[in-house]
Amino acid sequence: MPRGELLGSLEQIVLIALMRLGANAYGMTVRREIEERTGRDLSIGAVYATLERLEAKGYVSSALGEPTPERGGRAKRHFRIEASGERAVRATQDAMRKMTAGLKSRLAT
Amino acid sequence: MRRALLTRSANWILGRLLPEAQKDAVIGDLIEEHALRTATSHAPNDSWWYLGQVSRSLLPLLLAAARRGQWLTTFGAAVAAYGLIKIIESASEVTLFAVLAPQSLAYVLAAYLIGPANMMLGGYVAARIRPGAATVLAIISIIMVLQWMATAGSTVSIWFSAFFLVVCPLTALAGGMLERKQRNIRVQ
Repeated sequence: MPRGELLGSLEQIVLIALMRLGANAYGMTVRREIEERTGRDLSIGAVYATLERLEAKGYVSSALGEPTPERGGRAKRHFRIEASGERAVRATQDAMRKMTAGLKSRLAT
Repeated sequence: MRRALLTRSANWILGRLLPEAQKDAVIGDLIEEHALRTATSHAPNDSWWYLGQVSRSLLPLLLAAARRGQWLTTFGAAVAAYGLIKIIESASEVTLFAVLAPQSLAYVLAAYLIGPANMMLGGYVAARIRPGAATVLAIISIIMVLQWMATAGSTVSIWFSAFFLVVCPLTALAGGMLERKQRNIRVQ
């Protein structure tokens, strides 16, 4: 990741969801993981638009799976976070930690 | 039946906005989660959730398509086809005026036919350049007919205007469908 380029909040959330889901990461599971953990009911379009953007940046790679009957014979697209994606998450988290240092009491919910 | 038609229509709209590589994955994800929700929530059919997902997906997918540059090319193809139609239409009108008497029945019939015939050709050409451009051409034709109706005012009969308002977009779409049919035959 170029110095100074930080991830947007949705990009960060999607990348972390990919880290959590591992081999089972595809559009639907990513959407559900985010909804269950954050309460954000994202549209599938928003998830795919974000994944496409991350793939263009080289943070994510994807591969087509086999078609399955429960999906009306349509194939899944599996997503995987790349090493550069993990570095981007770490750099963004690090920047957030530095920015919020000393503000613990004000940011406590 | 109505629900199936709604979800099919929603899938069709999604299909217009998604690149070929993503189409199956996105629609498959929706079908899978929809089935899962229906099975776990004991709701007979969670169609509203499905439609909500599709409608909320439109804006991010439109923006993603714009980023890929697809829409710009599609719009460009439709505008180019529209320009071609206007050139052919003007040439046809000049020829018609020279050959037929303006008050004759043949002239009136030909005047009704030139626009839709050209629009069908335009839809075909647009779809040939870029799949989906015929739909954009149909939208352009509606806007242009409405603009023509607004400026022509009472000098043109309402039936004449209404005919073009309905028939021009339909023939543009028919031209696009014809091209798609031919392409499928070529692939087979």
